[in-house]
Amino acid sequence: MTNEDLLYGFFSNSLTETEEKQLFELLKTDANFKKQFEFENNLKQVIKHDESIKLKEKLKAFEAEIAPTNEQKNKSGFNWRIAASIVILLGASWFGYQSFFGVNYGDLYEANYQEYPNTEFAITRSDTVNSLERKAFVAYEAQDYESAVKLFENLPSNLQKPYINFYKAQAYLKIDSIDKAKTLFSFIINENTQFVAESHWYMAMIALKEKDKDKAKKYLRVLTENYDYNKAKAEMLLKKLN
Amino acid sequence: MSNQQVEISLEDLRQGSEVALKQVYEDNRAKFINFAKRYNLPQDDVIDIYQDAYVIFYNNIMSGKIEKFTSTISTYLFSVGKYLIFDKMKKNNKKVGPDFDLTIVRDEDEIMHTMEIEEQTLTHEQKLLHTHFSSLGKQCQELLNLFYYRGYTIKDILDLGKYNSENVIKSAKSRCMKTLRERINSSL
Repeated sequence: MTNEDLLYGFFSNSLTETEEKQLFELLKTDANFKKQFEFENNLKQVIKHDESIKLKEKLKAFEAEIAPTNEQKNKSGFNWRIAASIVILLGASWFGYQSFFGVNYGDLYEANYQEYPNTEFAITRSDTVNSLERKAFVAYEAQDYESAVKLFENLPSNLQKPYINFYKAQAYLKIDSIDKAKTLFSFIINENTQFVAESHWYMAMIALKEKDKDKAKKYLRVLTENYDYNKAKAEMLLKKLN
Repeated sequence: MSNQQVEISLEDLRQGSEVALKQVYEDNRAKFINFAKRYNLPQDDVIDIYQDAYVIFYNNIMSGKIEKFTSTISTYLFSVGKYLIFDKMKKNNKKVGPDFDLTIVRDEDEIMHTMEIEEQTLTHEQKLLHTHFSSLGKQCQELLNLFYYRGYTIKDILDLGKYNSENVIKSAKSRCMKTLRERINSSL
């Protein structure tokens, strides 16, 4: 097989495994071949880049068609007068409630708390090894927090990666083991490694749950002054608590 | 979705069917938005990511990287989408989580292994190539597109019926590449 044939086969996805190995070997040893390969590969990337831009424009056009339809659907059968009356009524009640009773911590917690998604361990059906860590994250994603806690706790020390504590704390929070969650979030903040900003946010959430206004404000302030995570939400919450 | 239905959709997409392109986009859009809710991203970002994931998915079908579906179309789109979401979350949280490692996701996901994710920006050489590629005649651009983007063999191109023989295609391709090289060299 000539060098030309190898390049042709590569770009038409028709190389056998042996031929592919031969190509990669040549790339290491033959500078001219490498130059030729890079030229053609760059051309491929350029064409793909153009096609991607065209396709993205097409998708934006699809989106523009979908969005007005959705808006129209929302409009149909919607009585703005009733909605406006409800908003005014709710606003008035909220104002009255705030004036008489101050901050409603339960509402603030409910409106702002959301468990943190699993962004660390990708679970795919093709996983062949059903590792302990995988089991723990499967339970976490399935919202089986009791099992997740047990599985996280039982991970051997060599599998205790920095992010495990964060997810363990999340699971504890979900099952209302607040003190254990607090200990773990504080540990993460002190260790200053991964999920520090997020831990400040969740400490503020816990403080709201415990109606501890000062502590909530303290964590939110640290968060807004030093990190980007949930910044807008934290600023909004601070305004409400002040 | 049964495998047969999936197979037909793959072929429809590969043939460049606009109807299939739109159908797949619409069928998976709501599901993707719902799936992405847990990541707490603004809706506009989610739509943007969905479209980028779709572009990557489509490019991989076109280039022949995905020859046969081993999962549903949704699984492909969600795998790429999840990768892009993680990437975005990582960029948004630059100040925190220095140990956050995207390779965890990429390495363990079989689908991501088969996918090719292109860089968003072109290198200096690629920009130069782009300028001169755009100056080529329409026929040259089409032929090189079939060969490099669609991953067509000479025989596939012959089957389209625009050329009389494989030799004609080979000569046409050589001429196009020669012109491209000459134009680049004369501009250096």
